[in-house]
Amino acid sequence: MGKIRFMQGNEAMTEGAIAAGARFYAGYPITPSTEVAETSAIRLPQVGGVYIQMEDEIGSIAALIGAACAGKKAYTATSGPGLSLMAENLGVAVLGEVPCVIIDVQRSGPSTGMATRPAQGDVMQARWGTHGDHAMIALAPSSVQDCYDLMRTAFAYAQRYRTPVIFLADEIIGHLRERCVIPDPEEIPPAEQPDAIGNLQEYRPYDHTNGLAPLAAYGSKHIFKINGSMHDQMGRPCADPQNADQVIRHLSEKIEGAKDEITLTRAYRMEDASYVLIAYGGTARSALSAMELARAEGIPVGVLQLVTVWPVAEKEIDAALAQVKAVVVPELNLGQFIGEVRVRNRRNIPVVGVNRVDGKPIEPAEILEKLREVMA
Amino acid sequence: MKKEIIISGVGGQGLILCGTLLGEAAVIHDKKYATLSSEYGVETRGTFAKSDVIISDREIYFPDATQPNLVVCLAQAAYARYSGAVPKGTLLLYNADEITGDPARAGCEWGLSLTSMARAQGAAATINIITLGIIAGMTDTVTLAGAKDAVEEFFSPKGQKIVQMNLGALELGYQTGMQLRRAASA
Repeated sequence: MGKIRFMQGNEAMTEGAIAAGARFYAGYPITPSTEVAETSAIRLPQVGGVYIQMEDEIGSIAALIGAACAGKKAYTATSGPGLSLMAENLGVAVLGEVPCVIIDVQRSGPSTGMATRPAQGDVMQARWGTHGDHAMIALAPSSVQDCYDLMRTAFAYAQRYRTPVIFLADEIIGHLRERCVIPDPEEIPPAEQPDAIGNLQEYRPYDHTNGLAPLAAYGSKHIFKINGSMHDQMGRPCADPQNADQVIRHLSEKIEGAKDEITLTRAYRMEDASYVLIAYGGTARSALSAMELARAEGIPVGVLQLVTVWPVAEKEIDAALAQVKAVVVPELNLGQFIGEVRVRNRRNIPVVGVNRVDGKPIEPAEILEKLREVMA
Repeated sequence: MKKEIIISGVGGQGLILCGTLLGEAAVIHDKKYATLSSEYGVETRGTFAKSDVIISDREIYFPDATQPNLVVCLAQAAYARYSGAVPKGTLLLYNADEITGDPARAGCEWGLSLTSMARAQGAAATINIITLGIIAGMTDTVTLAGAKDAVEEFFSPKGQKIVQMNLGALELGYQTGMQLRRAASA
């Protein structure tokens, strides 16, 4: 059963990371993610891990990449301004195919914005924050329990797809305190381990002809290079057009092609729904309360929660669009995700947003009002 | 059962701790569901801050109070925000030692000398624990035993003297809360 705790989301992320086997954190504290740094600083040394407070976020992600290359499961936590600084090196992790987890507890932006206020303004930044073609995995927790459980998923995805994963939290969930069950240590299954490299004569870190090549650890017997330049199968700089084409298509395909395994969604009361609310992160809580209010009035509405924001849960969104008469997409931004719903809207049904950028969460009543509008 | 409580004041008064202990009592001791969401400024202390606590028998979705049963104001800035702005039927309690109440609303708001009560317990800083006791006594949110557990666990690293002082503050708050509850139903 584990231990029931009344816990904060940020703290649960730290515990989840440790349960997932993470033993390295490098970061620069920033509201509203600071408690991840605080609790990691206390907890990691207790489990034989390393915590480093870096000079800034550029250094943080650089250290993360280094630790991951040395075989550690590594994570950091930041907010929008820090993610902006990490954008360049995030690309190094993408091209180098280095597994690591970057927690972004979103706050109101742009720039410094309002440090203590919630937002979901980094949805597109998570997807396209670093330049060049690539795919990205972003998971959005909607409860403190998610903060714990999904960290494990984030590390598993990072490992399995050799990619950075963005843990796209928000201030609502990061600072929320609520019930969370932490399994007893003996109940926690062992963390996902990378495939063994075996006795390859010549280890090729980027030879993906037989599935993704495992990443050797720096300091092991295998010698390989990782840098930000386009590389050949050995990691050596290579500007051959055919090679570049293959590598860049591979970076997208390894994630977009595994979409069915990566996309996690939750359907609430969808069986008989004529309307659907599509939501993610802290806003999913507003949507669920709105659903209860609407159901109490006899409105057949359901919620499709996107736990995986990127890649897009195409199948589930398609199915919802085929089923309902209208879709409402509440977002704590001016509509960063709704476009993904609209491009799939083959029947041309109403797809409308409820958007707030004043630093306050979307209230269930606002969603209900919008729902009544589209029904009229 | 679902109860929504707003504990408001300014940063530095221990509002979030009060909410946290309330939530811990509900979740860990009383096996209920609870959420605590806070609002505060970038300043460490001195500007408006609040904790929304929701306690329920079942899972809670939206974690902010939209229909509060009780609003506690511990600073003028908080009183200014809530006095006259709460839904009908919501109880508003304020610290009369710190806040000048609106005489026109004397019938529907209750002022209590919380600072004096806290000083009598040994430290003005126990206001948040007295408040916790009042909430436990006035509402069916948490049991006194649950609140005691939470207070004891939190303060135990600071030594028995501090634990006893805060348990005293909790008890005083609880008795006050029970009296208020009787007065409210009379």
